[in-house]
Amino acid sequence: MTTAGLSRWRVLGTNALLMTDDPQALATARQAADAEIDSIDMTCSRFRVDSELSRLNAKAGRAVTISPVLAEALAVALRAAELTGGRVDPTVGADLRLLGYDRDFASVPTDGPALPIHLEPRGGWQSVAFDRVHARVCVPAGVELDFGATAKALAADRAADAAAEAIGAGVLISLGGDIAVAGAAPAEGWNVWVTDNHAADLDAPGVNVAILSGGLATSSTTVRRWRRGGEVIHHVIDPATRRPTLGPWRTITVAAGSCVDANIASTAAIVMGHEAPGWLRGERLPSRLVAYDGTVVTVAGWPQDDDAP
Amino acid sequence: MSAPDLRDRGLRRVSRLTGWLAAAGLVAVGAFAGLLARPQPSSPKVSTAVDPATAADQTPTTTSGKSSGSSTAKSGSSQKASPPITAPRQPPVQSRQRGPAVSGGS
Repeated sequence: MTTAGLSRWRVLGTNALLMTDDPQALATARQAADAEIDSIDMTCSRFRVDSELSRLNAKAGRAVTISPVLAEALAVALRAAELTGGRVDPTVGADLRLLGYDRDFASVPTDGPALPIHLEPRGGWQSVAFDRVHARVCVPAGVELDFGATAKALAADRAADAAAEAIGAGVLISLGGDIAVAGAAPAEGWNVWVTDNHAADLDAPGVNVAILSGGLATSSTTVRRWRRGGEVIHHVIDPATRRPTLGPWRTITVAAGSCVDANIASTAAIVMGHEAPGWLRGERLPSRLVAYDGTVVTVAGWPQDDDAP
Repeated sequence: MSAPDLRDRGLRRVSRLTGWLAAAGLVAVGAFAGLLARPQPSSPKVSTAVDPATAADQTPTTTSGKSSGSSTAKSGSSQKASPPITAPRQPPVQSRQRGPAVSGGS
């Protein structure tokens, strides 16, 4: 759907939205954004057999030269792992697959029999040998990379930058709730509704905020959930256990200098659990954390909810 | 020329020859060591993404949590090589207007 200054479409298996404060330039902005998003999709999708990532995973155990886009995505994913002490780890691909998340989520059966859980050790992010300069990588045998925690945000950042540059005006891009803004923002900022599920109804609980730059990302265990053998499984994996996280937070939203950084922090914070507020505060990342009982905690300058005590 | 002179001359030649041989041997050892220190064509230069600048020539490892040589990935907070997570220039502010953009899980 396209209206003045706003375009919505489906891509990367989720909802995309582009806003610009120059409605006349919407088509140009969309074209520039599409090119970046398509590039990431063709390169980084775990669910496309023709993606470069799928081909790389199929060559695990061998050193491979990769494209600049995949090299950037891999560098971003490994940086996320390093900065979070391995809490956001791109080597959980095989774990997600074994847990049943082995295709685009819309096609994953919502229920099914118990799955055999393989607990054999696999190399973590530190086992991936990567020469960024020469774009050479060797993924150890048995390891499958998954960029689910970072690639969408990277696409949002790249798309926002490309669109803003193409039209010379401010742009907001949302890819499944991962939001990046670039160029000059409206004076009052970009208004964003923050809630558990980016596709939620308008009456879902949440807060309105305005941002002027950077990115905003929300990680939540309330979405992309499925059942196997009666057990509820979700997509946020704790690399330490290679199982879905069990922490106290259902949803964490983080504002950062980029969408990638916001997404790294929000995902890591979900995995961290009780340590998350202190870590986010230390990183000076304005954040809103929602516990399973609905309790809201805000840190580092995130505005308090209207109904907060 | 007397026999002792001939003997001394011969000994000097032998001494010079020995010196040259020793010098040539040192040069050969140095050149060979340098050759060995260079990467083999079939071995990719690898490092971790954490610190590509310190990449050493090595064989990629497949051992969990380990990498070989000087490019062992650093996971401790005191040894991070990547740029840190960046804070926003301004924190979000409360807004009364609900925008079409939604940040939520997906």
